[in-house]
Order: sequence, then C-alpha cells, then structure tokens
Amino acid sequence: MIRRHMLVVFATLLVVASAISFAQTPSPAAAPPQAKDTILKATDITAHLFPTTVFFHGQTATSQMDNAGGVRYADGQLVLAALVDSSGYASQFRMKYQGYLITEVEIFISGQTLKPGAYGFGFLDNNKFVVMDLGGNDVLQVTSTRDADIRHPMPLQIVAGAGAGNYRLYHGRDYIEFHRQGH
Amino acid sequence: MANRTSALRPKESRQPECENLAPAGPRRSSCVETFLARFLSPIRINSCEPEGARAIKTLLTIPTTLRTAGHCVFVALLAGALCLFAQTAPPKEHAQTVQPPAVYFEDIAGRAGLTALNVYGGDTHKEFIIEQTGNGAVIFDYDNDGWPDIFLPNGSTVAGFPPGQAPTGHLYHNNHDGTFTDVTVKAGLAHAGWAQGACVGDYDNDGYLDLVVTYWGQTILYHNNGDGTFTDVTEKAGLKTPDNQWSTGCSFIDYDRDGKVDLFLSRYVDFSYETAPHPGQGLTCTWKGIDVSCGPRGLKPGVNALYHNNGDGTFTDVSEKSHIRPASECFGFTSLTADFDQDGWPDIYVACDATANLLYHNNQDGTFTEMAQQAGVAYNEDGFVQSGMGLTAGDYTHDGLEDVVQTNFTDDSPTVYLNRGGMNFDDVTNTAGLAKIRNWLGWGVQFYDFDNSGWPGILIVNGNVYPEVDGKGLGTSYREPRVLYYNLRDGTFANITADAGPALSEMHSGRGLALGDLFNDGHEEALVNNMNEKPSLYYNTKPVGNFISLQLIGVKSNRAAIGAVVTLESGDGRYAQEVRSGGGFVSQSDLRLHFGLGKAATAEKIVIRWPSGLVETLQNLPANHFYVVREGSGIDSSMTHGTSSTPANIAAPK
Repeated sequence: MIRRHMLVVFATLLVVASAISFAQTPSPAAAPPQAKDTILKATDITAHLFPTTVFFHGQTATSQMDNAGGVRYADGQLVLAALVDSSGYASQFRMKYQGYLITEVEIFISGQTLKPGAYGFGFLDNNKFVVMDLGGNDVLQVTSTRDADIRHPMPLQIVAGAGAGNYRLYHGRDYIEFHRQGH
Repeated sequence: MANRTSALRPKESRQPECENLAPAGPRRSSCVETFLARFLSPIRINSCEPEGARAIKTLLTIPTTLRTAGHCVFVALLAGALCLFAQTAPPKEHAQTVQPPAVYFEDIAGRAGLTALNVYGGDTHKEFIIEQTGNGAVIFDYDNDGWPDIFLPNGSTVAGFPPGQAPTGHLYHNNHDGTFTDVTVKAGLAHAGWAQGACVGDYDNDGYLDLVVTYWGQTILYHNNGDGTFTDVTEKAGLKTPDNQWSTGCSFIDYDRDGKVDLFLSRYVDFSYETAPHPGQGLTCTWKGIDVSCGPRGLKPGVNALYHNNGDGTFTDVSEKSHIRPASECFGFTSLTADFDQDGWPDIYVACDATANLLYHNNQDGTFTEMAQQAGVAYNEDGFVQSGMGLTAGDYTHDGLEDVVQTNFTDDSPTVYLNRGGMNFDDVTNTAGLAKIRNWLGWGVQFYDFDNSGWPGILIVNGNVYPEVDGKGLGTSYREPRVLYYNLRDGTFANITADAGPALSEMHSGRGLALGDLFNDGHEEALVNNMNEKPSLYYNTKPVGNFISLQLIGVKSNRAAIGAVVTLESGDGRYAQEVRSGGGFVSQSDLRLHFGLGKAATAEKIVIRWPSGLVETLQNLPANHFYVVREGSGIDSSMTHGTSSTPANIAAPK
C-alpha cells in the first residue's frame, strides 16, 4: 500500500515537475523549422547578401552587420533583417526606424501581408511593430509580443517560431512572428 | 542624435529575469542544490532556471551515488516539487537588516600634495573624440618600501604645446606621512602625449613592478630599474606598433600560466585629426540637437591585442594565434581579467563603447573563445547594446564567484552582472538597486569596502563627454557627482552618497578610479583622475572595521601573483578577491588585497589559489595586519607589519 502511494506521488511529481519545467523553457519554443529552411545568423550575412548602407526616407544609414539575421527558404528565397544606425534621422523617425527588412517573398505578419521589397521597421514602446516603405510611410502595424523568459536576448535575431514555417524576428525581448505565403 | 546610444530604445522598465525565479538576495545554494547536496556530490547547476527544471537537470547530470536509481529519482523529484511549491509563495521583501554605517569622505588630494593638473582637451568645447575619453589612475608600490605610490597619466590638447611645456604624467612618491612628492622627472616618466590608461605587473620577475601606459600613439612599457627610476623598453620588448594605435585599457595576465605575465591591450578607435569629421559634420556628430565631437559610431573600431611574454624581456604579438582577433567589432575601453568560471585559467573581459562587450574565455591551450553573448554580458537584460566604459569585478554576494559592474553612457544605468557560475551571468541591475540613476555618464567603478565590513559597496565616478551640454537644459552636465553604494548583504545596494559627506557630491568630470590603503592605516582610499582638474583623493574619516591586507609574492607563479585568487571563509560565506591588473576605468588599484573583517578579531580561514595551481591555506590570522605571503612558504613574518597611525594631516573625523 505504501509503495503504491509512493508510486502515485512519484508519478504526480514527475508530471508536475516536467510540466513546469517545459512551461518555463525559454522561448523560442515549439516545432523546429522546416527541414530545408535555414536560419541565418549575423555571421552568415555578408555584404554580398545585405547592403552595408541602406537607403530610407531620403538618406542612407549604416547597417549593423553584427545585428542581422534571416531565413533562407528551401527554394533559395530570402528574408533578411538588420538593425541600422539611424542616428542621422530626425527624432520621430529614429524612434520608428530601427532596422531594415528585405524580403524576396510575400510574408504574413499577424495576418497582414507584406509584399516582396525593402522596408524600414521598428519595435515601438507600446508593443507595436511597424513596417514602413522606403518613403517612411507605414505599410503595416501589428502588435508585438514581449518574451520575458528568453535568457540572453540579443539586439536582433531570427529564430524558429511556433509551428512549422513560422519564424520570429526578435528585437531584444520583443518579437513578431512571420511565415511565408503558402507555408 | 546620440553618438553611442542612438540604436538603443529607451528602456522604460527593467524587468528582472532570473530574479523572478530566484528572489534577489545573496546568492545561496538553490533549494534543490541544498536538498541534494546532503546526498549527492556537489555540482554546479544553472541557478537561473526554474528549480524544477534544475532538479531534473541535476538528476540527469550527476552520477548516482545513492543506492538505487529509483531512490535518486524520487529524492530529486521530491526536492524539485517541494522547491517549486515554495516558489509559488510571494517573493520576500528585501529585509533591510543592515543599516549603513556612518561614513564621511573628505577629498584630501590637496593636503596630500596631489596638485598636478590633468590636461585633457578643451574644457568648454571638444573638437575631437580624443579629447573626450580621459585617463586612468594608478596606485602601486614602485620602490617596495611597503607604502603605495601614485601614478597619474596625463593628456594634451589638439593645439599642442611649445617644446618642453607639454604636460606629462605624474609619479608621486609616498612620503609615509600623509604627503606625496612628485618624482616624475627623476623617475624618468616625464612623457607627453594623449595618455589613456595604465597597469602594472612584474614582467621580468625581478621583484619590482613595471608600468605600462597606454596612449593614442605609441603605448609604452616602462621597466622598473629597482632604484626609483624607469626605462622605456617598448622597442626592445617588441611592443613598438607600426601605426599610432589608440590603446585604452591594459592588463598584465599570465594567460598560459608559465609564470611570466603577458600583456593584453584594448583599443578604442582608429583615429586621426586628418580623417575625423568635425562637430556637426557627420551623422554621429550631434547629440540631443547640439553639435558635438564625432564618434565612436561612424569611426573604425580599434583592434585588441595580446602579447606573449617570451621570458627574455621581449613579447610576441599572439593576437591572431590566441583568437583574440578577430572578434566582433568593439570600441574597447577598460579591460579586466578574472577567472570567472574558477577553472584556474584567467579570462578577459572588455567593456566596449556602443558595441557589444567582449568576454574571452581561456581555453587552457593558449587560445581564447569570445563568448560574451552566450555568457550574458554582451548586452543588458533587454538584449540591447550599452556603451561600456569602466569595469570592476568582485564577489559582492560572498559565494566565491566574481561578479561584474560596468559603467555606461548617459541615459542608461550601470549594469550589474551576477555570476551564476560556469560562465553564466545575469543582469540584475534592477534588483541590485543600481537602475535608478540614468542621467549620469559613468566611468571609473570599483567594488569598495570603505567601512571594512567585509561586504564591498560600489563607488562610481561620473562625467559627461560633452562640455557643450552645460546650460542647455538637457538634464545633464559635463561635471557630475560620484555615487556611493552600500552593500546591504542581501544582493542589493543602497545609495548613500548624500550621507557620506559633501565631497562626493562635488561636481567633476571624473574618469580613472583606483583603490589602495595609501597610509597603511586600514582605510582604503579612492583616487580619481578628473578632466582638466587636479585629482581627487577620498578618505573615509569615520572609524572603520577590522581588516587584513595580503601582499602575495609568487615564486613559481609570476612574482606579482597576478591572477591569484584569495578566498576568506567565515560564517558569512566565502568572500573571494583576485590579484588583478587593470579595471576601474583603464586604471590600476594597489595589488595588495584588502579584506574587511567587521568586528572579527581574526580572519578564520584564508585559502590562496596561486596561478601555478598551488593552494595554500592560512588560519586564524590576527586582524589589522599587513601580511606578506610567499608562494609555497606561507607568511613572511619579516615583511608583515601592523597598522600605522593615520597621518595628522589626513585624520580629521567629523
């Protein structure tokens, strides 16, 4: 009888401990990326792939190549992002224009479509993520998510998201999730 | 436009990460560790993870020492479950059981004869970034008389000076009576130029501390001749650089543990008057709407270097071979060496301005792996680049691990990185109580046991880089106060600046900061190099607790024992300090280790881990003595002495 009770306690503890352990595993969690997609880190993104200076809203800014990331899809198409030195911009744009996004494919961000092209983007303080065309006009604004569990956040990184084909663009602890049209 | 912080988002709140899981406080063994330690061999596990997960990880990583695997599983799970249950309770309030003592600092620099002006570019306008950075401070006993002396690097101006009139660094000899004598010329250290930092070590193991002074220009190695003079041996030692490098921080480090200290240099930017833009001329040449000197963003970063000591008075550049180069781009300032993961091999940390910090982990084979991001010290807790200036390492939680405090640019706070072991750090700035002050620009920083409690507080020296900010209503000023924190022994600090006398609140544009008991009276002083002013020397005139001081002399290890780790074991835990070259802001503190003992009459147990690997234990050392310990033979009683009386011109308790 005692042994049986111990087994019950043991099993319960195992389930509880495991559940809480997994529940608190730092993001990103979830399914691995599609087998043939490749997540690109900053060291993978050379000047051959991403311009070291980028044009946006009337002037150029330097790309922070140490703070870059991307996805190379199985068919070779790319989504690339990097932070930029936007110090030359007026203050209202400095707050919004933090990075440069290049996508060769149509992607969906929180249900909104982003056509292939080059864009400016920024994570705003009120949990908003904004994408702007090269003229500085908003083309997309969605709610971003704050990841309190990530252990050592970075200025920018792209990691696998929740579910196959989903990827997360992180800026520090804030992220948005995107996936490709048809994926 | 922010030259350094432009890419950063304003940080509205700092959400403690691990502190949510493990309530702040002196880092104790985790609940699971404590529970399991009674049954299993102690191992190091990640104390930042949820306790349940850690219990399971512990279970998976440790060999079974209990009789049955099932028993082990049960015990571990039970421990994990109990601890998880405990975590659901609301975190405890920080019980402030420790009240800061009476502290009263006076600036005694003038009384002590430290009167030379530090010349560093313009005082109301700076045209170039070379005028911004300023210089370190050094406390070292160059003549082996048992009384620490002072060296203060000096700068220049863009216009320059007529021949023979340029300012030079200053070497001050300690007169043993509360005063110092400027012996610069006699010592052969009168050298003009844009001096930055300095560090000391005995590279030829002759028993006299040698001096490196970094410059924009040729960095200089001075050999201590043992007769009160120094000789510039830079070229002979193979340290001549082909270009005018801008070296800032320096650290002697015996990275290969061959008993001979090597030399690490951090470098800032590739700068020249000819190529640098002028204020307002470039994207990084304005700040908050005013034209200021440009950089470091927009300028090419410098490249750090490591020189191996060949043992014959020469060095070889091993930067590539050791994998110090290449590394991520870094506008390098202060370098600091420490055995962060307690594997017996010294690592190197570099505070980087406007770029991610660097942490070179020693691979024990002559190479390093840069792992700041993995270790959690590249960025702040929100994942953003800061602008690192100064560094200090110390064990403020008494767990035997060296934690780090880094000073940063204005509109940001200093950063406290808590060492979790195994090259894992967490940014605990918020819970430590250092996130509140964000409008001052930090430089020199030291863990500082100013009352000999045995629990180091923190002293931070501030000052903006742009004199042009004065009068602009920007909420900051070129000259800024110091900040003094008291260690409340629960993982938090209290800002006691306002209660520590008016001297610390006087406005200066401070840079270098070094510590040392200059008068051998048991009070550690803080030496500050100020921009375009005379230096400051802070003395706590209030009574302090008991202490011991340890000077280590290496035999098999390098003579100055750089890299030796000393742990004081007592009822308060394990308090570790390391003999270190560098730190502060490109500065050098006295190599003697100062342990406050509070009211204890003896140091119960001292464990010395020498760089050679030898471990020596000393027990029941009477307090208030300056001990000299020789590697392998214990205390050298002929050189050990008691406390001296505070000189009359210094002591003036309020």
